[in-house]
Amino acid sequence: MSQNENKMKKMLLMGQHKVGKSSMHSIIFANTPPNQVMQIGLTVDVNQNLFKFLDIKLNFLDCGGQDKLLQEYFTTQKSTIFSNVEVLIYMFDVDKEGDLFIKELNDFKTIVTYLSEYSSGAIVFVLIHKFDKIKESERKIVFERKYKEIIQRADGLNIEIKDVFPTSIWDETLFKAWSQIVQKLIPNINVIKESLKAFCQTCSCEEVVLFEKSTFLIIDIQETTEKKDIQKYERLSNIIKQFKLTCMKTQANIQSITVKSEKFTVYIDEFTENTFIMLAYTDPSIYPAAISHNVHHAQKLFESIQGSDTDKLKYLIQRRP
Amino acid sequence: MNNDICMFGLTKSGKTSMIRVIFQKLEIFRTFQLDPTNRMESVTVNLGSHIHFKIYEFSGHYDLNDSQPPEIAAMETCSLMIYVIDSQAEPFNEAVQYLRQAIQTVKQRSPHCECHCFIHKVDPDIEDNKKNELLQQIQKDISDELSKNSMNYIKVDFHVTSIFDHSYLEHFSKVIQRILPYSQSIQTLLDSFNLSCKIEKSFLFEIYSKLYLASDSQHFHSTNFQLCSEMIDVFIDVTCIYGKLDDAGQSQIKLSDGSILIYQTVNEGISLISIMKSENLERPFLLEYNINQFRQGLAQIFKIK
Repeated sequence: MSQNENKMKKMLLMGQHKVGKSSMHSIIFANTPPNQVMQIGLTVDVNQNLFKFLDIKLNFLDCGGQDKLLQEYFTTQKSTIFSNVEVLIYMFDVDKEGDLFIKELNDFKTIVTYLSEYSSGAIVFVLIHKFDKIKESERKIVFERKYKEIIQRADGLNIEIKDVFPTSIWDETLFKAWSQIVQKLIPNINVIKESLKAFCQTCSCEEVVLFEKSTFLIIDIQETTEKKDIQKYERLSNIIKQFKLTCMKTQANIQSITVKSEKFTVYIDEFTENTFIMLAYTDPSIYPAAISHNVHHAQKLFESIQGSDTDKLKYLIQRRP
Repeated sequence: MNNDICMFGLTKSGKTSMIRVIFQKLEIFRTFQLDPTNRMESVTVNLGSHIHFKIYEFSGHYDLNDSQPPEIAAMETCSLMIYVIDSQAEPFNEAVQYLRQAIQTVKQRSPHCECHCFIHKVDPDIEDNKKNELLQQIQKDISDELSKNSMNYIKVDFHVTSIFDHSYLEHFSKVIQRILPYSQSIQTLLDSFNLSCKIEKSFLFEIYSKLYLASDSQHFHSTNFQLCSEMIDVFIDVTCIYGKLDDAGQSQIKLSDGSILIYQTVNEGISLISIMKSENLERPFLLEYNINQFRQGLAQIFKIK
């Protein structure tokens, strides 16, 4: 079996009726800006969406959340839905409290139970969505309270909850959650990290970020200075994605972005077939042309990383001065 | 008479939302939570360091027959009136009558006041032919109402707007330009700048409100305007992450169709954004020289009061 023949990874997207699963999927993958998601109808039955992220084929099953559909998933369609699942993304609505929250938790427990029976290696991500409805000062408390309840429900089951995220379509939190989710799906992520690190050091820039081309989700970040605020990269994903959506109205795509001031230079460019790279410098004397030269030089190496022989790569990396 | 603006319109027509979004950076999704305005509110607007005016927002419940001194004083300083109609709230009789009464009241206090009507909430998901229908219907209703009251001579400019796309910014900008004394001079300066650098289109923006103060005489395309106003967000957001909000700087965005967007800080809060073909950007030093010339020209214009 050749390295390039990777099977499709099945991703289940579940949660109550109207929690925002389809809207969220549409914003991250199908390029709909947040103020147009009102037009997305209700999902009836299961919507299948194929998406290619880097070289990985993702098969999203967006499962409608109405009660009668849930009953079907738990009975007649049980094995169809829950077998061979790579990742489950379950969405809670932060606004639901009391009985409604308990119902969400119970459905969640049932789903995770079946998942552990039919796909024992699956990982679970939980999103607590619509956080824009909660006042800033209360967000931490609300999140911690709900987090405890959710983790408790999955206790004892043979399934791993990888992470729980507070999200909203109106800020960068959605990008943060999804960047983490897709990073777990990249098989050779360590090779990519090592290469990016080497590249960052060779270029002597402060920060390098690798983004996936159409979603602008973060694949990896390397910094030469001490670890700063990760949130800023997620904000960048959000900002660039917003601009990209406006460009699409003119049938054009972004090729490169440069922002320069006295104190910094940020350079974002197309990199490999399905990535963009960002470099940030605080040395004002660096010319964008020099940065661009380094980037094009490194392109060939990174092109070969995706879908290729890992050993050959390690060799290539070690060979660099 | 100063160069102030007064805004009228029935309750929930969208006056406060527009003002808050443009001048106070309220997020659009939060406008649904705004309470109705109950008394006259005024907002002081500062665009760059040279442009200052006030916007007086009159409550939707405002009784035009019962004007108090502060309200009368406000109307007397206004050279421009904006009336906002909610296009999703049919029938329009009440809105149209209130418009007629508002015009009568304001014209009493400020006879040379220009009248603009925003046909608002014409959202992006509404089809073009429906948009045209609405525009025609409302224009006709207003024209009939003015005729009935022997006000045929009054000129009303119409604008189709929505807060969910860039139309509110585009039209608010065009209206503001009516009270700026410099728009024509800056337009001439921009034409000359474009010519010197083979630029297709330029806009001079105030970056916090994202209103454009002037543009060149080339044809206005909505998409160009959208791209340029979105570019402001890219510049501000990246600058906030790596530096400070007030930092001056420049930015370039290359697009796959061969165009390049160039952003350049001109002075406090004012930036020049141009669109050109990337093959014409062969001599960046020439561009820099011309931008400096532009800055100097603009400084001269602002000096003349």
